Amino acid sequence: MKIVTYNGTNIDEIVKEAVKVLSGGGLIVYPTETCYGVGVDATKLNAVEKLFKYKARREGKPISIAVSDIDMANKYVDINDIARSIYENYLPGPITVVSKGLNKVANGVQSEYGTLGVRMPDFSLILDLVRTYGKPITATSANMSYRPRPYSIKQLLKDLPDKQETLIDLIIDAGELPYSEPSTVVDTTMNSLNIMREGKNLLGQIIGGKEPLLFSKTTSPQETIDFGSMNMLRFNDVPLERPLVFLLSGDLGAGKTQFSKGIARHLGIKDIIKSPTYNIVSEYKYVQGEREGLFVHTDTWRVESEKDILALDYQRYIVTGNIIAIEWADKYLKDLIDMMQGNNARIVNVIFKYLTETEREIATYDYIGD
Amino acid sequence: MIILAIDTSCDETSVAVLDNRRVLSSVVSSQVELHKKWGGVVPDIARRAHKENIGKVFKEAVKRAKIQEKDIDYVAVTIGPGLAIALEVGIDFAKELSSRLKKPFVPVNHMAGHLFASTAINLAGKNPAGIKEDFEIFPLIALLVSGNHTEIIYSKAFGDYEIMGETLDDACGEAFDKVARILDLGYPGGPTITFLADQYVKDVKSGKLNELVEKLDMNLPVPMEKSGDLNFSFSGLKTACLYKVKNIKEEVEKINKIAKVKLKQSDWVKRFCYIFIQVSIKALEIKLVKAINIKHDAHSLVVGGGVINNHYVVRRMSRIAKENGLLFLAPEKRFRSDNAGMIGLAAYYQVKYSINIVNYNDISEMDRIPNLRLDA
Repeated sequence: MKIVTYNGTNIDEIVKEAVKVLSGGGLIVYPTETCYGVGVDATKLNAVEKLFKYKARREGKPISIAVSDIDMANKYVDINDIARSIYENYLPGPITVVSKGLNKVANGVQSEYGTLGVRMPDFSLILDLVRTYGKPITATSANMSYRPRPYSIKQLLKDLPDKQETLIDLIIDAGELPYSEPSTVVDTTMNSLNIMREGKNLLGQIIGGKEPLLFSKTTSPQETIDFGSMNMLRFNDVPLERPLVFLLSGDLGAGKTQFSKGIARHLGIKDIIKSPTYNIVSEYKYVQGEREGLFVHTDTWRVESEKDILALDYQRYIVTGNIIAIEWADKYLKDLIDMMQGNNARIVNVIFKYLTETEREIATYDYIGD
Repeated sequence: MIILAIDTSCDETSVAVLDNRRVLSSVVSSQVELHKKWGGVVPDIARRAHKENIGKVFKEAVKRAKIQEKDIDYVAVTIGPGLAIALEVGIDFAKELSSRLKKPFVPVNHMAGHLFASTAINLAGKNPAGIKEDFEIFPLIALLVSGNHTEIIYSKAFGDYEIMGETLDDACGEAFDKVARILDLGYPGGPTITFLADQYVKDVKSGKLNELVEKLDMNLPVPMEKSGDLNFSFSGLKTACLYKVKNIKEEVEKINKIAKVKLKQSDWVKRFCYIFIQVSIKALEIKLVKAINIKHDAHSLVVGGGVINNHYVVRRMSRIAKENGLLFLAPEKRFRSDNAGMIGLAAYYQVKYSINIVNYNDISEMDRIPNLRLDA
């Protein structure tokens, strides 16, 4: 085992050294913006097997890869629109983007469902290294499975059994790294955002989430409807002055339509509020005393591109008096927010999470903006 | 009497020409290559696509029907239910045509189109169910199932409808698409799920069942089985599928740890598709039979909508009709999914019974009604 110290300037020397180790099927410990990681050539079977031995990890758990840029990623995974938008807007950074793998990595790196997580660490030394090497390296934290994530080499070696230590060929020591959450893992294989592990809550930042204004743990569809009503009550006076928009984000079946039923109930709408998935946009008239307007219930599940979101002509609905609820808003969050802000709408983010088959966690955030 | 009919209620731009109940042509945008740019599997839902399409679809429909514009006696168009920005394109086109030709304008309810799609007469002058006059079918009970609708209708006469039951959340066809997504089968889900179920049926017939797959728990709850009313809910079935699939995957993982031959998703997914279809049909059947038992005077059972393309569904419905002594009417294949031919049929009856025929001078007020109901 060799240790080289990174001093901020000796990039070429370290890259050369590391490339040599990687080409020989060796294992390196390297710094990232989250914690120390462990890397081997992700396309070499014997190297990956060595990594598994090092991690002493349970069967079937996939390993992410680190790439230098989207072009390299493109060779290993199928990048759809959602994934592309994350690559373009948020990488390099602490996000692992899960896409459909192209079976170009060694066995065991992709998940058993054929998906593969891709990282682009926000650490120029590593991006340089991977670019020079020309192939992706594994991107997993340097600790053994179920041990704390290492932020310094000292801490890593302290926690590491001797057997593991002998498997390391090269350590790139960049000193003590600032404490940081692991990367946020985002599954894009369904062409919609599906947050599998929330790290630094980057997506929370993107949507401007802070402390939720309203929060509920619901245990039945009826309770989700009630929570939707409560939300409309909370923002009851907003439509008197400006359009009110609920951006609803969460997995399939998490309760977005039920929540919308609650909004409609509070507005006194008698029609049955059905899923707008197929029709895309449904409009319902409401009258509350002297107030009246439209409750517009819409869904981007079948909408395939940003172009189509714009062409759906939501603009016409973003007027004072109207309430708009958008299901699968996370698919086109940025476009929607731009559109809504351009029309002076009050934006509310509602995030739905599955807890169990019947339980949901629903949190309402005020969108504050950049 | 020549009727020109237009439907732009959602994904498809469609125009048809009818001579009374005989459909001379019915052109659907996704089925003709109009423009490379708009081709492909995924329909463009935007207004722009309909605008691009409608002129060409109109010309094609007129050409295939071998008529001239001046032969048109009535201009019919769907005014709802549907996507507002899409409906507007068809309505604007119809208005322009109606005033240019100085011919009456017939506003049609899209669901009435599905309801009467099975009464069409083909080019040979025959109706598949042998219907000679429309009044032969009343009183009727109809089950209309599509990606957007799941409704049970009772009707004593044209224009008089009672919605006995409807979905409270997701439509039956939507459940097919969403469950296909859960199973990574792509969009749209109906055809793929049906195809896989067929594979399972073949395996059953040839005795090639996988014992391990047969042992997997794939029980799904029949939605709204005991709700007491005639409404549907496919949202709960979708969630149940999501969890069932998760459990199956875990179970398969366990089995694969000890099994010599590893189970793949393709091994079990076909059985799941088969069971999902059966449970969906059960959900429809329970409410439909209840409706039939309530309306003793019903003479026929009419089905319509894209889900009727599923041969398991149409066969079961046909059997229900037989068991209850009802005349069974299902549309020809081309009039199941959204199409303008069926809009022309509904328009034909509107003309016949003088219901809602608008003079071309009075059409400026005509507007789309996105959540129009049959019982409005």
